Amino acid sequence: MLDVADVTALDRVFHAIMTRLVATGQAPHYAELAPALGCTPEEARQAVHAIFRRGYPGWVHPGTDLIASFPPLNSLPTQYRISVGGAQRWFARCGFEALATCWLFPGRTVRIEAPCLDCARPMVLEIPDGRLVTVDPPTIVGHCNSPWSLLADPARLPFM
Amino acid sequence: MNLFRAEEDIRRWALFDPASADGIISLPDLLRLFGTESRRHLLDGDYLARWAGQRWPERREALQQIGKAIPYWMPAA
Repeated sequence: MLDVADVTALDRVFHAIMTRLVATGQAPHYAELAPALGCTPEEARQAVHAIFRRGYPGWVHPGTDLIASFPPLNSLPTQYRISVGGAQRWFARCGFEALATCWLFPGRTVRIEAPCLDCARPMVLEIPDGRLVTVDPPTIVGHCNSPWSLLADPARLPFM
Repeated sequence: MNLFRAEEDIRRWALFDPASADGIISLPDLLRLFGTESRRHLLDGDYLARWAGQRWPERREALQQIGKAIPYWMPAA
């Protein structure tokens, strides 16, 4: 049995989702989680939603139980392609979260490639363990088009 | 929350909101904001119990450190 009110139990689910995403670039379906967690598929489904209800800023695709976003990674492709060791297997949730993906690959260099939303020309960043070693072009900058402060309210996250 | 090749690209972007000028942030500042301690424990088995609750307190502290403790960035306490 998996008690979704128990944070220790939810941590087992969280860890299973995150490690699967890191290993494969794709979030697992709740039915795939159940055997590994020793629970029923329905308990695993409820646990996925409970993680987001607790305030972890990811979401399922609207109207489904499919994990779309589990920051800093996204199971749904975005323009922020992440490569490690020459393999482009991951997507970051957004440009900001792309910088945090390096913490999922300790000791390795994370390469972020994305087209600029204005001119579609490429941008490349390389980050091992939180250090920017490649910034091309060197003028790359971040932008939040609506107040970032709103993100502190989980009710304002998309699709929740 | 996006990256652009340069600040001029942000202002030329078709969806740019002129009220979002305060939302422009340098890469080193972003790296600081997204490199707080809790971020380094996403693979820990006790992330939700031990680290998740620290995300916003850490962010508030990082925003102070990078000079962005302004309403556009800083959540209400």
